[in-house]
Amino acid sequence: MQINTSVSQNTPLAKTQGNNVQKPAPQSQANLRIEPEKPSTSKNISQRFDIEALALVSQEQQSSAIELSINDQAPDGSGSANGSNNAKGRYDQPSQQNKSAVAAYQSIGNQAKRDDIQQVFGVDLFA
Amino acid sequence: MPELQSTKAISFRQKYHFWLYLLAAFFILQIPIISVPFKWLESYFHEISHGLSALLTGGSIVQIQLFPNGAGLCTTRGGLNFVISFMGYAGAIFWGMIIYSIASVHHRLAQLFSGLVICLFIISLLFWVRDLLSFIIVTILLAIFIAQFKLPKSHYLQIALKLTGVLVLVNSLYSPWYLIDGRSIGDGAALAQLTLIPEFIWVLVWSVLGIVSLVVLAKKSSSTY
Repeated sequence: MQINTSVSQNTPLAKTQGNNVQKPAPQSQANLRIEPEKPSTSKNISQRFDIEALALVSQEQQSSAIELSINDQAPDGSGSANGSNNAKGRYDQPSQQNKSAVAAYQSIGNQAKRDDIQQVFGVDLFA
Repeated sequence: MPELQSTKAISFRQKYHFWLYLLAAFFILQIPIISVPFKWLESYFHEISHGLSALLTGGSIVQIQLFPNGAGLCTTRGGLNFVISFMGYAGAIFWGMIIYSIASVHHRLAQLFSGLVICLFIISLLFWVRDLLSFIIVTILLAIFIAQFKLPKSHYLQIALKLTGVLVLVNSLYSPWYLIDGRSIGDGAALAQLTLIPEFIWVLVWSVLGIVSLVVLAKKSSSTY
């Protein structure tokens, strides 16, 4: 009577997760485009390094965003399996928010199955 | 003078003996393997309370399942859903309280009650347990109660039953909080669906019931001496 429901990656929910991850990337790119236009002075050498670091981060974010969009476009959802690189794989890990979303999704699935069992067999389950 | 001291020591132990049981229960529940059967025991009383509520409200028990991690499942047909859902956690608290109270009254009554619980285990095994894992768990629980029943002195049975009662009560204080996991599963969610009162409120109700039971038992045991 144990009910388990698994969520595959090509569900609408999985696609929503992908979109959630992609959202912050364009904002950071916009900020970075503005910064190099500022005139550089001798005082803000450290700022220059920060800009370089930020540029590196933005590059990484861009590549991950592209990778995620490829994963979303893949019909079987197997795009993440192609990314053998560890650095890229890091972005596949869902955030806490997404994990709780999956849990909520699964609970709805369980509830539906539970209701099905109760209707078919005419019994009630109490855990 | 030494006699007076020993009398004082006895009266202290008798006056606060409930708190000693409570302390012992908290200690036992921290021990990894020893604590497991007592979790099963609480789970059994939880599920049997669902089942008995179903029987009392005109339904029937289809199956009782117990799992090694302390989870359980009671399948019923008919009866009042609200009462059956509510009585899981409330019933476990009630069982803990009854076990302790009856064991405190008289050793003969403790023996009689212990015999009744043994009968309940046997009936469960015969009619409601339908899988091997649950069968093994209920058999272990039955063996614990038979071992308690066969203790050489009836006074020991009283002590063992009191400790068992407090262990069930403490476990049933903890267990409703496992429902707060972000998933709408379990008795709290079922009650929330039936009454539109949030799951958290039901968890609070069960917790308050458990705390009130502990306070009542503590007051009762201190006023006896």
